Amino acid sequence: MRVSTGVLIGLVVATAAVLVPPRVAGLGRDVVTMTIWGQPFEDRLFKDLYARGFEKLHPGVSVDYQRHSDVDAKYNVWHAQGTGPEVMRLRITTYHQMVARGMLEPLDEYIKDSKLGLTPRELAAFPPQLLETLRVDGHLYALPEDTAQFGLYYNRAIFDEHNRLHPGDLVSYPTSAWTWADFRSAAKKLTRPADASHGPVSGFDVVIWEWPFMEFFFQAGGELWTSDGLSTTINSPAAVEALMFLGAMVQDGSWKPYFSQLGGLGPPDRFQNGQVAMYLDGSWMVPAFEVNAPKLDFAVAVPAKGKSDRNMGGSVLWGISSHARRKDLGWEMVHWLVQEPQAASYWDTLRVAPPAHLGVIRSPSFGSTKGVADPSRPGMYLVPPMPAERFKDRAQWLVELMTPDPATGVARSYIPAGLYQARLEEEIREMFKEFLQRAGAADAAFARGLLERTERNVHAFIDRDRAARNLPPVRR
Amino acid sequence: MSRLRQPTLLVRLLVQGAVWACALSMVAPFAWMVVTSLKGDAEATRAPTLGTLLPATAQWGNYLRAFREAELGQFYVNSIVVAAVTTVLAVAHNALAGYAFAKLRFRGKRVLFGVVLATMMLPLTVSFVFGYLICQWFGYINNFQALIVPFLASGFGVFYMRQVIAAIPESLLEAGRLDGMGDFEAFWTIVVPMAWPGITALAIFSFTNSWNAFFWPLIVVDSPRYKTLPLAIADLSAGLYVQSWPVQMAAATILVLPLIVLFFFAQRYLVRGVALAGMKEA
Repeated sequence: MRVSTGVLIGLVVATAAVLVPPRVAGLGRDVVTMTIWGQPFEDRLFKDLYARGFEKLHPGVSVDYQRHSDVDAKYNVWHAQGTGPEVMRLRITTYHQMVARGMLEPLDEYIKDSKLGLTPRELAAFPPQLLETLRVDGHLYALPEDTAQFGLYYNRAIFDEHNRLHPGDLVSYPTSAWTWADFRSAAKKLTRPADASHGPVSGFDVVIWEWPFMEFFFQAGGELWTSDGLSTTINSPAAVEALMFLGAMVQDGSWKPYFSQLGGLGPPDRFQNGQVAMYLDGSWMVPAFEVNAPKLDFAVAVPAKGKSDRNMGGSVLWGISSHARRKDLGWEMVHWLVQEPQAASYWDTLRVAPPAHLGVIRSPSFGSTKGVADPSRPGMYLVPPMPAERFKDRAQWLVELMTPDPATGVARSYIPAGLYQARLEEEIREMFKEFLQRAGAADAAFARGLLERTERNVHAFIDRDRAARNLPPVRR
Repeated sequence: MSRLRQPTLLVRLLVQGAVWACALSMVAPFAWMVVTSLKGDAEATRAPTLGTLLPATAQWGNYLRAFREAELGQFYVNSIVVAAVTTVLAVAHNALAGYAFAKLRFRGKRVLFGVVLATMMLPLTVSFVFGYLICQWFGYINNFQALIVPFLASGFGVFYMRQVIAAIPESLLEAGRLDGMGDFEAFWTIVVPMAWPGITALAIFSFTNSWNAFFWPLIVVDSPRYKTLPLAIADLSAGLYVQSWPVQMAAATILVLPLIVLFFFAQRYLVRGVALAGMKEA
């Protein structure tokens, strides 16, 4: 046989071998697919404690644990394909959209089930406002895992240094009683130029995205949506007030916005390098600062309040795909995941956000955490533990935000959500960035112009979406 | 004929300066990546000064952490298998198709080649939906085949190999045929050796594309068993949570290292291959 003939046969055989469809081993009857996003070390919780823990409790059930960096893309692809996991971790921002697209299984029947449903005590453990936010036409399609909060991080060394240099003009550490005026005054006083012994210090910094704007917008008394959720009310005096307040901080030099596309790089790095006195960010940054800047003397407080004391938050949820094959097992696992021991483990290991379980937040176990040890560096941690003595500085603020006011029964923590929330947040991000780029000379008319455009774009999107779904146009 | 004037010293300096500036702008991100991969977590996010540009003590352990934390070993093997199989088969198929379009006569050749060219006009992302449905139909989803089969031939590959092979003199193939060679034997004994620089260049393109692919593997692979390196590395920066820049940079270095080695050894062929694709038979 000639060499060329041998090559040709080899090529044909190799190509055929690649093209032959694989034999698909059918999934076992009792397989629960559990999908999450996160970093590999988060497997210590989701895989080792949750997936393997559920398997131990249910012999014969196997959990197909999957971690994806872009889980939303996976959910969309699976939905188009007509498949989906039994247990899916999702963000509240996309929740209502997923419900509208029929991607999530309604949980009401499971919740009501006399044997496997939620007990009244279990239901009462969820933050009530959050549960209300999740109801769509009276139905629940997911249960909350956590409630991340926006907090005011402050560098105590910068405050102390200021007070040492200016004994007649003291600035106290932030407290939950602070108002916008206290906050702005402190930011202004703590801002200082570089001198021979120090680099420059900004009084305030924050990553430019939608949350900071919404924080100040809600505090100015704003509402994002009309009661039917089909028209945005972003174009309002509250929004102008929030923008002008933040613009004034840029104008007086106490905030130098960082416009890089990688906004997550600059401001937190400046804070951990001691260049920023006060920094606004989510609860998830506490362990990050502890890892990256172990010597940084910082604490976190409840952000200052305006006309309203609402505080911006977010939530991660557990749901069941409407295409899941074993929804019954999916419910058993979701139910198990939201129970107190599992919710406590979430805080005890990752400390990314407080669990959406008021029992855990009120329990002594919330006062300290074990963290996640680094297997490749003995004695080191991927998520540092929180000793009890750190609780006051690093976690007390979360309790304050999530505890309902005894008079009103309403907690300060506020989580916006809605069918078109994701789109609105995209528009807010662009609007906020554009405003800040010209904040040095911005006036209310400029702010109103941007807000009008935001409103117009969101309404155009809603109208297009409704037309595509053959729904009647919204009368505005 | 007028003699070409030698450029002045100033022009040469300007040209060299521009070349060095371009080269530095290309190398700087890689240098930054390698330097950061050797820093400690806290050191990597400190405000950079001249004194802190280099790591105080090289933390080689970051590479071990990247391998252990992201379990890169398994994904490395997956990436090598997928990229190697895709490259070998894609180059073979593209070269054969290119040979057919360049040297063989058959009915509908021009129309067919037009169709091949038309596939190059569509952005790759447009074909993802159809690609996904076809893979699902064949049962390739969540398997190595979903990562290999859609890339076994490409419009660019066929077009490129056609251009390379068209430059080979027809007289050589005629001589082969007179010696009794069939079409495939002529391809193997005459075309392949002469088109080798082009084949090597296409192999580099194919390997690089397969090695770096992110979005397609993201949507077609569910199980960690079939995940490739870029997916595993993306996991290291998922979310807005505790992130180790040195470990991420170590993982990124691990990802690009094979490509740099490949480029180092094959750059001669790459340059010749690209040049060859632009030549026409005299």
